[in-house]
Amino acid sequence: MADNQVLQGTQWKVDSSRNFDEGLSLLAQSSELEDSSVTWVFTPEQWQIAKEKLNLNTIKCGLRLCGDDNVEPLAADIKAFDLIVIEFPHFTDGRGFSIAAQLRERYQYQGELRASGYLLVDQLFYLKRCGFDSFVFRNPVDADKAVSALADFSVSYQAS
Amino acid sequence: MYIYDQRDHTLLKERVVQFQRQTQNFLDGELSEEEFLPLRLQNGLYIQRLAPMLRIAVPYGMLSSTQVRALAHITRHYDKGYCHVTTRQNIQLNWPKLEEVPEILTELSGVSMHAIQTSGNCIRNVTSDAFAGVADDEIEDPRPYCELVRQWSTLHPEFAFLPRKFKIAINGSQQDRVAMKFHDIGLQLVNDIDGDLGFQVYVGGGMGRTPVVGQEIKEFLPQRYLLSYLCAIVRTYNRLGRRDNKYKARIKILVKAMGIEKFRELVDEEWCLIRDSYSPLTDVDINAAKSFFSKPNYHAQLQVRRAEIQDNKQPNGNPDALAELNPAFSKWLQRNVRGHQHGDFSAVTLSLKPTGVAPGDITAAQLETLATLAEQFSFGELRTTHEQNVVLADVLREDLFDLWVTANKAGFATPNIDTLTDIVCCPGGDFCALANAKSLPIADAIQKKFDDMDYVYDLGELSLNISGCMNACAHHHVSDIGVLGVDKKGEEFYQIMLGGNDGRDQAAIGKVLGPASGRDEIPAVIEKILDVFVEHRHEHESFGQVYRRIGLNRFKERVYA
Repeated sequence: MADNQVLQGTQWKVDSSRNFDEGLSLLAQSSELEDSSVTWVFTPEQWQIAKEKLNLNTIKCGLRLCGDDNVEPLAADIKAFDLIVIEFPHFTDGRGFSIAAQLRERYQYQGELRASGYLLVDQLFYLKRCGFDSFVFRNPVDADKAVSALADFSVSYQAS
Repeated sequence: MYIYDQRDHTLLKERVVQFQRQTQNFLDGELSEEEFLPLRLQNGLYIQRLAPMLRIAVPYGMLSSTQVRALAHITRHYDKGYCHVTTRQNIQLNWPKLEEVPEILTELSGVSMHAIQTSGNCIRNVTSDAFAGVADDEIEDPRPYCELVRQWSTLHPEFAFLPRKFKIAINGSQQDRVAMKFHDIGLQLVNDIDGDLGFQVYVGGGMGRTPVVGQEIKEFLPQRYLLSYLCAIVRTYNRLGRRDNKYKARIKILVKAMGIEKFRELVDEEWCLIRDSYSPLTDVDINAAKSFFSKPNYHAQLQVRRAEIQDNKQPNGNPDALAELNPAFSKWLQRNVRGHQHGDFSAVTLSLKPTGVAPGDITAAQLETLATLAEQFSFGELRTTHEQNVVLADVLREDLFDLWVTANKAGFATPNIDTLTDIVCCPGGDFCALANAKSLPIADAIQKKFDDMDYVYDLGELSLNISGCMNACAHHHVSDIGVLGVDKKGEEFYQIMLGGNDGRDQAAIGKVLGPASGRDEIPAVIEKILDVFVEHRHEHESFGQVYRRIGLNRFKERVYA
C-alpha cells in the first residue's frame, strides 16, 4: 500500500489532506492554500493564528487533535472544519474513541472524522461506531482485511 | 434468568469468528505479541506461568444447569478436569491450549456463554449479590439492571481501550454483599422519598496495591438515566485517566488526584449534555429486562411436593425435626442455609472449601452433580458467589435434607460458610504469573490447623482472605484477617492485615499488623490473633466488632511478643 492512502468509508483513496506545517509557514498567503483539492489540517495552536491571518472562506480546513487536546475551546469553530483528524499514538491509547464520541454527540460535528496513527484493523469496527469515517494507518495493514474488519459485527447492543 | 435472543447469538457467533481470525493472525506472525495482547485479554485469555488461562464470564454469577454441564464437558475435554470459581463470580480454566481456545469459545457460545471482557482494560463482567431476587433484606432485584449494564458494556465501542480495567457492581439489598465501595463504580438500588427507584452511585473504590474506599458521586440517580450516567463517568475517566503508569491508571487514582467534587463536576457537565440525546432506559426496557427474572413458580413446586408427601411417595422433610435427630445436618442448616423471601423456601450455599481442596476449585464430575442438584432442587439455576462458593437460591425447605445428603456425598456440604475456613483465595504462585508467593498452600495449612469445627463455629462469622500478590484478587484488604504474599529476595513471606470489611458491616481497609512472617509460621500467627479475639470478645461480638473496639495493637503485641 502506498504511503498516502486513506480508507474512506469502505474505499481506499489517495489522501488529499495535508498538514499545515508541511513546508508552509504561518505567513503563507491565503492564495497559496486556495486549492480546492487539498484540505489543510491545522493543530489547535496553528488554528488560533490561522483564524486571524488567513481568509478561511476560500480554504478547506481541517483540525488535528491528539489525546491531550481539549475540544471545548474550539467548540464554536467545529463547523468550520471539513475534516477532523484524531491522532492515535498507540493502539492501546483509547482517548481518541471518546474524543470522537464527544465530537459527534456533544459538539454535533458532521464532517469527516479520521483516525490516524498506530491502529489495528481489529479496532476498525469500534472506531467506525464511535463516529470515525476515515482511517490512516502508520503501521502496515492488509488493505482488504481492513475493509472487511469494518463489518466484523452485524449487530450491536448499544443504541447509536 | 436472561435468555439469549437472536441478537445475542449473532453477536457471539461473530465474536468467535473474529477471535479465530485474531488467533490465526497471531500464529501466522501477522499480529505481534504486543498487538495480540489486548485482543486476547478482551477474550479472557491470559498467558500464565505454566499454560494459558481462560476466564469465562458468568454474568452476575447466574448459571443454568445446561451451562454447568457444558462447563463440565469443556473442563474435561479441553482442560485437566477441574476449573476455578473466581472472586468476581467468573470461572477459570487453568490449562487450555491456545490453539483450542477458539474451539472452546465455540462450545461456550452454544450455551450462551463467552469470555468477552473478562480481562483487559475494558468494562469487566458486572457482579452482584448471589442472593439477588431471594434475599429477605432486598430493596429491588439487581439482576435486571445487571443485565442492562452487561448489554450496554459488552463490546462498547468507546470503552474497549480504557487506561485500565473497570469493574461495576450492583447491590439491591440493605446489606452490601457486593463490596460496592471497592469497585470502580458501585451502584446501590434505592428508593427516593417519592418511592421512585434509582441508584446511589459510588465511584473510585478499588483494591490492588492502592486500596481505596469508593466515594458517593450521586445520591440519587433516577433509573432511566443509568446508562447515560455510566457513560459520562467512563468517558471522563477514558479522557483523563493516567496512561503513563499502569499502577496509577485506575479511576480511583484520578478521583483521588482531582478530588470527588471536581470529578463530579466534570461528570455532570458531560452527563447534562448527553443525557437527553442518549437513549434513556424506558419502562418498556426495564420491564423487558425484569421479565427474565420473574419469580419461579414457588406455589406449583410447593403443591407437587406436598402432594407427594401426602401420598407417602416422599417422606416429610421437615428440616427442623430432622435437624434435631441429626447434628451434622443441623450444623449445615445453621451455617449454609439462609432465609428467603418466600417462607417455604431457603437459599443454600454449597461450599467449595472443604479442607484439602484449593478454595473455589471444582471438578467436572462435581459440576455435573451441581447441574443435577440445581435441576432437582432449585429450578435448574445456580449462582457463583464472590466468596467462591455456589448458591442454590430456591430450595423448598422440605427438600433441604435430601439436598444435604447428596451434596454431602459430592463434597459440597462442608458447613463452613462465612467462617474461618471459608477462605477466599486466589490461585497464587502455583498458577499465576503475577504472583509473588503461593497462596493455596497457606489456605490448606490454615484449614488443616483449624479442623475443629466446634472451635470454628464458636468464632462466629469471620472472613480470611489470601492473595498471592498486591493485585489483591482475593480481596485481602477487606476481610477480617487478610494475608498477602510478598517476595523478599526470592523468598516467600506473608504479611497480615486486620480489620478490613467489604461493606457488609462498614467498608474499611485492613491495617498491616507488622513485619511479614514465613509460610510455616502463618497458622500459628493466625492462632494468636484468634486467641486475642476470643479473650476480648463480649457475648455475640464478631471479630470485626472486637477489632474496632480494641484496635490493632492488642493483636500486634501478642503476635510479635
